[in-house]
Amino acid sequence: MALKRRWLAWFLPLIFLGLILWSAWHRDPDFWRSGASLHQAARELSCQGETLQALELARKAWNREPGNTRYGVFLGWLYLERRQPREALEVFRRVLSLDGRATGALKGQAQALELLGDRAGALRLLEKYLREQPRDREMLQFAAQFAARSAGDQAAAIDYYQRLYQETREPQVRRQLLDLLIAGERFKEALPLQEEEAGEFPENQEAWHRLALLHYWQQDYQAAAQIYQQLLARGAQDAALRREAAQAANAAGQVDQALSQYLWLYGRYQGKPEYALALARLWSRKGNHAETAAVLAPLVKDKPEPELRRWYALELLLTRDFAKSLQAYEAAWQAGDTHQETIVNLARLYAQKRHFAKAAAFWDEASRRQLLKGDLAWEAALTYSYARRYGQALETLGPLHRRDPQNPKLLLFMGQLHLYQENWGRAAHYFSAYLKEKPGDDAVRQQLAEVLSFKPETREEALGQYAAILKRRDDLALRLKRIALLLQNRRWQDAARELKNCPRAEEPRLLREQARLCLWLGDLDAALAHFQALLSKEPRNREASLEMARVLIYLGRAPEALEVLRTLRVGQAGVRLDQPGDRVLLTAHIEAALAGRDWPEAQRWALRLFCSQFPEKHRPARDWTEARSWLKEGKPPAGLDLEERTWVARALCHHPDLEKNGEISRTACDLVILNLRKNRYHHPSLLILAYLLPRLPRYEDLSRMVRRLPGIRADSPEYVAALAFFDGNLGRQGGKLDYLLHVLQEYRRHRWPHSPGELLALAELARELGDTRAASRYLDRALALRPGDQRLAALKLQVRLDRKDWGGALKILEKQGNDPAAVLKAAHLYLYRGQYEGVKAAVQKIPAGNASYPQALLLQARACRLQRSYPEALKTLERLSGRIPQEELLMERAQVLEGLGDKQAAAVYEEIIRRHPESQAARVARARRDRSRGDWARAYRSYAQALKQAPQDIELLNELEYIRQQMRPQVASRSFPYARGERRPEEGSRPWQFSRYDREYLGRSLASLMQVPQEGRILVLPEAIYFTDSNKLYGGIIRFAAGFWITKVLPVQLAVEYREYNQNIYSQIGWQEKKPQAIEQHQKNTVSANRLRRAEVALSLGPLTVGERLRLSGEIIGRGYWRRIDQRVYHKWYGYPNINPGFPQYYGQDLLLDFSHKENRNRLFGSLSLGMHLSPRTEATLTYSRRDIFDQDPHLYPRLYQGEGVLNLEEARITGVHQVDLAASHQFRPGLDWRGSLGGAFFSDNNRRLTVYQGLFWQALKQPRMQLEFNPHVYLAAYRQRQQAYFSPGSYLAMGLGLNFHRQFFRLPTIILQGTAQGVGQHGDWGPALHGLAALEWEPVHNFFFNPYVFYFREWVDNYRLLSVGLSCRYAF
Amino acid sequence: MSKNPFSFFWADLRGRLPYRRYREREDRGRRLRALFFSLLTLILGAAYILWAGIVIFRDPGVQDVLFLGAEVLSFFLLAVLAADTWHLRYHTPAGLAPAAAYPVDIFVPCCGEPLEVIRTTLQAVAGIAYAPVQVYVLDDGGSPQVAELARSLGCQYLSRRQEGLPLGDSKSGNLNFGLSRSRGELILVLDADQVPAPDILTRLVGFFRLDRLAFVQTKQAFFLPEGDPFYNGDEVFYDAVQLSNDQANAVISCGSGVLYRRRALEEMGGFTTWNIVEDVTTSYELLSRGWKGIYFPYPLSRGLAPQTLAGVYRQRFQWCLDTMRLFFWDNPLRKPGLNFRQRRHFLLIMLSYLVSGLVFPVFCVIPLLVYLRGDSSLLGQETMYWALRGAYLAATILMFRHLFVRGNALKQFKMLCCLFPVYGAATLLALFYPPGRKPAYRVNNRRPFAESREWWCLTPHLGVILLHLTLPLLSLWLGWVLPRLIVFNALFSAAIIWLLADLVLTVIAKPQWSPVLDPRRFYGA
Repeated sequence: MALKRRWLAWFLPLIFLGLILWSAWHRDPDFWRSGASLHQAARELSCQGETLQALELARKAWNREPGNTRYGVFLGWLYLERRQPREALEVFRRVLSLDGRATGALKGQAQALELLGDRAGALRLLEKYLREQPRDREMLQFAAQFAARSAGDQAAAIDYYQRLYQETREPQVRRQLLDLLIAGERFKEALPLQEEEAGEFPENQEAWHRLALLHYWQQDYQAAAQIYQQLLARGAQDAALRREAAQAANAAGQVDQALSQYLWLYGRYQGKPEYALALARLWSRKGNHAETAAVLAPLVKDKPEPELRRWYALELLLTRDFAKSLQAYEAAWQAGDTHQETIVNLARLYAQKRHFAKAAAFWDEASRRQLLKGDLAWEAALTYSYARRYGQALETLGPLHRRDPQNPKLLLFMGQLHLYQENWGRAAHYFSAYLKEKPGDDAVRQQLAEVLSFKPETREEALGQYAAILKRRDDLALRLKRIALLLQNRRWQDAARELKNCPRAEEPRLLREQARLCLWLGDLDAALAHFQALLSKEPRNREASLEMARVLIYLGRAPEALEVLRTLRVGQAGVRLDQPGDRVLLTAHIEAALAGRDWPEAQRWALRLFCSQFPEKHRPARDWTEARSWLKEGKPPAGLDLEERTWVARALCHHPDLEKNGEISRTACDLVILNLRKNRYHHPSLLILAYLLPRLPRYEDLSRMVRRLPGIRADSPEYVAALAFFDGNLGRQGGKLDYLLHVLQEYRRHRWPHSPGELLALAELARELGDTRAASRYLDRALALRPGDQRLAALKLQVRLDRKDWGGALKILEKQGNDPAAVLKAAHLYLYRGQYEGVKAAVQKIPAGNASYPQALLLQARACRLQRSYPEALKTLERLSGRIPQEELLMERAQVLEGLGDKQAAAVYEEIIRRHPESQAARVARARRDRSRGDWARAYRSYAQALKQAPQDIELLNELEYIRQQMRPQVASRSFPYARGERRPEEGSRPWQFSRYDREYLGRSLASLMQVPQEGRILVLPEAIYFTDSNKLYGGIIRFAAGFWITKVLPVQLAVEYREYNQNIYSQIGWQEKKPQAIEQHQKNTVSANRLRRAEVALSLGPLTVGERLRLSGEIIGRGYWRRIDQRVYHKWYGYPNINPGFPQYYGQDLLLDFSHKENRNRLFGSLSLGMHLSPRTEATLTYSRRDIFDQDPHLYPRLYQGEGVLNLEEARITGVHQVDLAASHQFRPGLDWRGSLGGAFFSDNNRRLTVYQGLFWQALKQPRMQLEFNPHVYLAAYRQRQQAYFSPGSYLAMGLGLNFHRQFFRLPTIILQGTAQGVGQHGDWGPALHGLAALEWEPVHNFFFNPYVFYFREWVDNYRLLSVGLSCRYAF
Repeated sequence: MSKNPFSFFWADLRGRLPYRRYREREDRGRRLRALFFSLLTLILGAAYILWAGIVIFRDPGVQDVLFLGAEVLSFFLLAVLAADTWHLRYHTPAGLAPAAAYPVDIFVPCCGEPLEVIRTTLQAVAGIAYAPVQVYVLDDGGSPQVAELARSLGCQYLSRRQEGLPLGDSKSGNLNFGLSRSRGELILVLDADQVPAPDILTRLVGFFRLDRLAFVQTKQAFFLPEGDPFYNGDEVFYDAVQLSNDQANAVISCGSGVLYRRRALEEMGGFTTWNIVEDVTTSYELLSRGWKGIYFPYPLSRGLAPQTLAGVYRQRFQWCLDTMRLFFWDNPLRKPGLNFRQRRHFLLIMLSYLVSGLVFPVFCVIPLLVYLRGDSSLLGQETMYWALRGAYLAATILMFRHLFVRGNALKQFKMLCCLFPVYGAATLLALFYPPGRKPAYRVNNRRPFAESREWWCLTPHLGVILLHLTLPLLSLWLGWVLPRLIVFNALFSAAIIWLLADLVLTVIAKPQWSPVLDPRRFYGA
């Protein structure tokens, strides 16, 4: 041990150092390098171009030695190299704060500022430095170069160069200064410097030439001409010089001198265009156009510039040769000359020739180039009007109108022009302006009203105009027009009022119009009345009859509609009496059949309508397959219109073989796709297609849809991206489907129908197709348009309920006030939503005498139960006694008791079963009884039977899901076999979302077990324990376990475990021998190192329920033991003189002996347990087991599942134990249980043991996330023989109080604390004992639990203590 | 023989010394090596401190100055140690042949120790083979059982309590009381738990042939558990320091197993009483008056040592307080009558307490300060530091190895460091107790076999370990200090943890007694 301690003292610092080194290295791999080394490395890397690494190292170097400005400057320039000026600036600033004269940093800072866009700041910085150090040549040079880089800072650059020149007087500096001055056009300042240069180098022609140029640029042409003269005197043949001299003379106004120079050049270069042009200009300037044209003529021949052509044409014009001039302009235009002069002159010339189209085209060109200004606009407008291009004319007249806006003729003309172009707004504007001038013109006013009614935003104005006309004269047609406009403008209330006030028309045309308006308004009854009136006048009006039949259909009076339709069949030529002849009638029949929900009839009519496309066929098709085959043969059919296709498709939606027969679904899809190609916002088609898409039998059909649906650009990048998004969510097939549905929904959202009638019809269609969400939206819209409509409100509530939109439904119900029926419904809804206080509040609103009061009370009891307020629930149930059927009352009571944890619940369920054994209530009660007993397999079967009778019972389904969840195979550790705390609340309330039957791994059947290796999902859950006790026994346990169910009946667990125990014991035996002179002492010292290894494979089965009361479970364990004992024995003799025992004499007679002993054994163990329910509250279990001494009696160390009872490994033998236990438990009341056991054990070494355990378990606190339990108990173990090798005192009596506490913090691990304080009596002595367990239960991954824990046990009687540290895992599939 | 160590070393190196004394020639090899490594250590240490001083004074920080101060003080201690302990003096195991039969009085002072302990001691005293001898049991406890026991064994029982005398000055007062009632020429003082060997007097009395010899101190032996976890055996002191003290006539009396000359004590007026216990102070006084002391480096008595950390704390606190009171109020540098070597030798013990009590805490605190503050003058100079400090440390280890051949120097060093709270407190307390005001004396072995684990004793150690474990990681993770500096200081932290962890582990472990040295058996407890 001393050796180990010393090692520990060495290891601790070493581990600490290792950790520090690792952390430091992790933080900075170069932490060990010095600043200088880092800086050097950074420089080398920078030279190699590895600036990124260099930067990193330089940064570290600078961090190491922040006072070293050299490192800082280098780092800053590296940042600049990496184009990171902000960081560079920071570094340079720090460097400058350390050393204000660090010019490198200053330069760098200026560079950084420039890169950051703050060039002015950089210059200010340099200026500031140079104010302090005005003679610093290096910085002056840098500043000058820096400033010279930007054109905007030339002045500063010049200033710096001037200062530098004053310091240095170097010609190079002067040269740069001169260049800058010239570039900055500061010729005045440049002149003396240039003169200085010319004076310094008089033979330098270049200097003189520059001087001449400077004079020229400074517009001192005389001086320039003079210097040029001097220069020409030196080099007369220099053409360039002569050209410049000519330019100077020209500028100086010396035309003749310039002419002479140019003539020399013209002659010398034989008519070079450059000089010819200059010469022509000079001739033109002197007024000699003929000479000019003559000089220009040769130039025009050879691909001349457009300007030259125009100039030439103009010169010809000036010489009055128009024909040639026109030719020249045309040539210029064809050569691409688009000058204003060319275009306008050409337009004028064509107009002059009465070629208006051509002229208008040139005016177009002029207009495009915005050349039509002033009088040119008039010219152009006239030309346009001649060319019958009103729009252009209007555009051109615009400026004129702006100049004279009140001109009536112009207004009317412009209004007409706009009307021709269907520019309603502008036409209305000009008409209005006209009517201001002439208000009595009714014809123009009606025209204005019609124009205004074309645009939605001006319909109000149109209504006003109609009203103005109607004030003067009452006209029913006009009133109906106005009503139609009101409806169009969605002023439903006004339209309704107007329509009501409108007298019934006498004229059939107007009467029909009136009926249609009523239908539009959604006032079906009025529409029906009008149609009936019309039909009384014109009984043979077929269209009216049809429309009336439709109204009847909308009113839900399908049989009457059919009657009307039947009358229409009569008398049609060539048609049998029982068959409608035309498509309209067929359509109406389909509508009627659908309204009556007679799907086969609707499909029959739909097939007939579909076949009407093929008039050449003498009979209708037998079925849809044949009808579709007709489509493929021969010429394309005449086709159905949009409405007809819609009705056929709608009828097909209800075909029984829709999902099986691809032809039907494809036909329906084809029809609606055709509709959508006509109008992609056709809501009925969109709804039908949305219904059809998920029912398409093949993926290929879906893919085809993508290409056929209008508006989707298949394979475009947007499409690919959108599809990728949806694919990402749902996979390929689901993604595509979802995408298409999304597109359809978007189409519907883009354009909504506006009339309430249409919305109602669409809502009906949506409900018919099961899309309650869409139905709800349509109804919402309709209700917004007609807020007071009760029929709509009722429909809306129904749709909300269908959609399970309890919130929306509750809102509607709230509006209905305190009506008991509505309140009861609301209470139901609150219960669905889990708003239990809401249920109670709703029940309060119902008067006690009301017939629905008992039902309300039952709801309240349920709410209380679900709220876990069980006493209140029981109280409520008491009030219900005798007011509702006894079964319901009992069922509710039993559920409350079950929730309370009262085992009496099972008895109440039994009572229900006994009363009506074959009823559904009995089946449910049976299932719940099994559930309350924790018999999951039987409960599962019972629920399945109950659900056969009521497959849609959501409550039963939920309960079945709960059972399934409980049956999820769980691979549990020995230490923590079940989860404490509550799972996430949403999982508790909606288990079906979290546990799906098909996801239950290994939970389906034994057959699926065979697939395990193939799936590669063998799950092992290791747990590891280390323990050490005061007997120097220490060791560890490693365990792997897996679990599953066989056919949902038998749970199985398979585990492999390995243990190792070690014990190193030092013992000493000594005896004395008295001799005359001394006492001799003999010692025998024994050092033994004992080790036992144990491996086991355990298979446990059960519990399996047999009958209703018996439970069987068993376990079989195969174990192997490998034991080894190493002993070293040595003897010593000492002599102690009688006089002085403090100085013993060592005789030195040692004897050393070594022993080794090995033993291997294999054993088979197991257990069989039989449990039974003696009464609802009482259970008993009889267990036979065969164990070894390493299996600890669970009551001795109740929480030490991994317990260790062996005290002396050397002496302990592999001893088997046959044990019989009888355990019983009884519940006094919920939360207070008694448990007791009596056991006898027979050891293979002839020892025996009797154990008695009695304990009370009181749950002081029981909450979903927290539990506190106290357990006073007494335990007695009496052994026949005392065996020191394993834990067997003569008798062991323990009395104490246990505490079990766990608390789950929200989304945090559960804290588990268990403790027991005991008084222990052992071989006559009494003393205290303590157990303590502190553990955490942590669920880092869903369903995967980690349990780190520490267990400590201390008993003072034998001074025994044990410490165990472990980590275990658990997984629930 | 030259007093100059260099000329001595040179002569010894050439083998030109007379080597008259016992084992002087045999010890030559060790001595030369020890001296060589001592010189090397001092040179390397001086170079290191000079370098560190230059570096630190360029940019001094608080912790740097503290560090330098601590290093200088440690170097000073090393220098004194090296100068003092390289030259040892041995004596023959048989001692000298006595010139006359000196009458000897044996004083066994006791004050409430268990009766079994006293009985065992007295039985052994009765077995001492020498005559004429008179045994005095000086019982401040006034116990009738002890009186009965003493009489039954033929010892004379004297008790201030029974005689109604005041019990002032604790043990020294008791000894002076015994001195006043006895007549023997020599006085052997044995603590109540010290079991003497039968030949103790026959081997010691012969030294008193030397006229100016005041006392002979024997090596002390104890009943110790296996491995001597608290280093109560103190071999460095008993097998090296005391031998070198003997060489310089600066032997320290340990209060038990010591044979005094009555004349010397009477010249001084008896055992000194101004300090808490009489032993060190009495020998200090005697030597300053020109008397001589001899150290007999063989154990002739065996007694009890504290078995718990609290006991160790109590004992060492008392020793340190005694010594530091001498340092502050009767400093050897100012003590008249001592020569330079004696002064140096006395100073060595005091300096060791001073370094442990004050300098070691500074070494503990400096890395922590660096983790927190993050600046150090040695940053960037680590290589040089490690080169110089490493050489210095290696030389120190080699020096110790040859200075303390028989003692476990490392263990002694660890104990010295681990007892820093005790030594620090005692050093500070000594300032408040000038002569004339002394703290109470507590008997050490009242309950010698009580077993208790007093964990509170480890609070400072655990605190320091915890700080050194956590602060560098914290500093590293939070980026307070450059990693290089943390790693550099972590080496110090590791060393400190290593030093202190040993004591913690010692306290955790249960002591293992070999049957031979189990005191329970011998004292019949």
